[in-house]
Amino acid sequence: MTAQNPFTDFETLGRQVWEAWSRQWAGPAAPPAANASLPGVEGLKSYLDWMQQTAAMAGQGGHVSPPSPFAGWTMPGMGTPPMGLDALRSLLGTPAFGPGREQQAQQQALMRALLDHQQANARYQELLARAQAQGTQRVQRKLAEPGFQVDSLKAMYDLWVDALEDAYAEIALSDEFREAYAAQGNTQMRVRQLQQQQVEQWCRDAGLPTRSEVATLGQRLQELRRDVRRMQAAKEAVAATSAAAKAVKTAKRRASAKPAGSTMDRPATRAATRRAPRKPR
Amino acid sequence: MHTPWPADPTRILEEVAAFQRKLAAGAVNLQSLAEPGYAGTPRELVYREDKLTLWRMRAEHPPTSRTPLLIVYALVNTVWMTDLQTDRSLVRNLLAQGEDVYLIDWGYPDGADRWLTLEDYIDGYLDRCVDVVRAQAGVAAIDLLGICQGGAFSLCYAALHREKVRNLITMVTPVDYHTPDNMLSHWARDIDVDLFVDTLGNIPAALMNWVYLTLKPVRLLQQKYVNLVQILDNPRELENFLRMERWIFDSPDQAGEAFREFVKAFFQANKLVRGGLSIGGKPVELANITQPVLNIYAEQDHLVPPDASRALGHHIGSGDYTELAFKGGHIGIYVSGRAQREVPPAIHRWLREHG
Repeated sequence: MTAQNPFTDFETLGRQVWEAWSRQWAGPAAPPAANASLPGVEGLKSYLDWMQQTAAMAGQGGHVSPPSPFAGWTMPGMGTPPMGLDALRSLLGTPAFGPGREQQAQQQALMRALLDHQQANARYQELLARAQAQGTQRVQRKLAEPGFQVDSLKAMYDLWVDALEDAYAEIALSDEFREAYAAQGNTQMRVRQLQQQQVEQWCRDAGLPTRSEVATLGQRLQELRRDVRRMQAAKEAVAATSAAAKAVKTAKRRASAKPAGSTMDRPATRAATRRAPRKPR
Repeated sequence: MHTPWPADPTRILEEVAAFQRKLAAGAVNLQSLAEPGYAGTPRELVYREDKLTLWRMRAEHPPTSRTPLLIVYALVNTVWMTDLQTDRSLVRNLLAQGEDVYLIDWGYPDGADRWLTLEDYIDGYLDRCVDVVRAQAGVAAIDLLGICQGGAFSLCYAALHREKVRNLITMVTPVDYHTPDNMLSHWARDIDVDLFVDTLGNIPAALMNWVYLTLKPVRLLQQKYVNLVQILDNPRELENFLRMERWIFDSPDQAGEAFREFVKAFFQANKLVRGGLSIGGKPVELANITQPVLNIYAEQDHLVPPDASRALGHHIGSGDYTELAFKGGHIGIYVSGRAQREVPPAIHRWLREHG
């Protein structure tokens, strides 16, 4: 956005609103009632400025950047490098050698990842800007409809939100956005991964345990827990089978000891199954 | 020339004055409010394992239902959406209908849980919870109520353990992840989930929330808070708003391996409907679900579009399949006034018909 564009400071205005609100709500120690009107007026002023800018934007076009889906998931040093570094890419592909080969290769990989992320982020931001522009056009069209009337500042704001969301949804469901979205996140994770690898190397050099080592321990422990569960289950299954077999055997024994027919037969059966007396030694 | 703006400055001034009044009153109200709690329906600890807790929810009167109903919530966010506040509680309303309600609180995974897989969750934790409930109730099979991702888990479980599930209810459950209007799934398609999990370990809740918020960025990150001004002078509504904010942002991280498997198999490969899904090496086929199924979906669901849920009817083996459309969104199905009136009685009625 340029200085000629009256909406250049739209984001700044938005920030001012939230800052004003933050001040309004900040700190439990703030006098609850005595100062209530003062910050209220301040917050109100910012809010109205913001609303006015929003309304004006609807008529003249302008952009406000929705946040990146992965904003906040950066690490120190992960900022977007300045434009014009694409020429570095081929240089960064130069094979490393010598005693510092590994470190140099890691640094080169990190720099390449940063460039990739810069590119992916630019593409993603471009699509967001497109959604914003199309949202604004929707508002313009709506406002130009004969007889269409906005009743209040709030209604104007709601109209703008609806239009922007509709335009965003249309673009967000496109294949182009899907690829850009994934590339934005994937390249950011790649940068983070390479940074973590460097941090781990420093930790190993300093004799400190690393995240990878802890993760490996966790993985082995979980596998062990699964093995124990399986063994317990197998043991219980064997015990259950054994108990069932025993029950069947007992039932069979009882059945054979209790043939169908009169109870008068019992003594004879008992006699038949009685053990023969042992021979004297 | 057509001017869409209100010409009357008095009206604008009135709007400004009303805004100022609400803002001033809101400052006082906000500072006087404590951290809003959930409904806190009385409950009894039944089983605990690692971070998981199995609760039996208690009503004023003993349940009339002989078969327990186990609520299986998603790993994303917490199960307390079903018991958010006293007058907006699916759990309370089900208890009032006479259901014997149990629910699983998955807890908050940390680094020690990073290697938990879908097998650990579905064939491990969930299976043991079902066994505990069956044993406590003295029944061979129970009723399952799966919500969102928990619904997908319940489908897998019912397919794997048919003998332990009498009736299955799914709420706002994605089944076909590749419907054209599914924005979340659309975005997930090209995400390198291996890279994410290998780098982050567990997937942080804040990242998950951020992705959900960017499905409707201006509405959820800005308009919602602008609209907050309208209720700042109403302590009760303000408390409800803050309670919902707590629920939205007080959410657990996702165990890395389970997340990896879920995104790959469900979001990317759509295996639940395309086939080829296996949990712990055991094939999961929806055709194996032969129990009666009640599928409840929300007509304005931006996270799980209706078509993603309704696909279930085409893939299960059960001949007893019922759909219930709710006029509302993914969250409104639990907390709206309409939901309180319509959803629990419908669930109860259906369960009684299938008793």
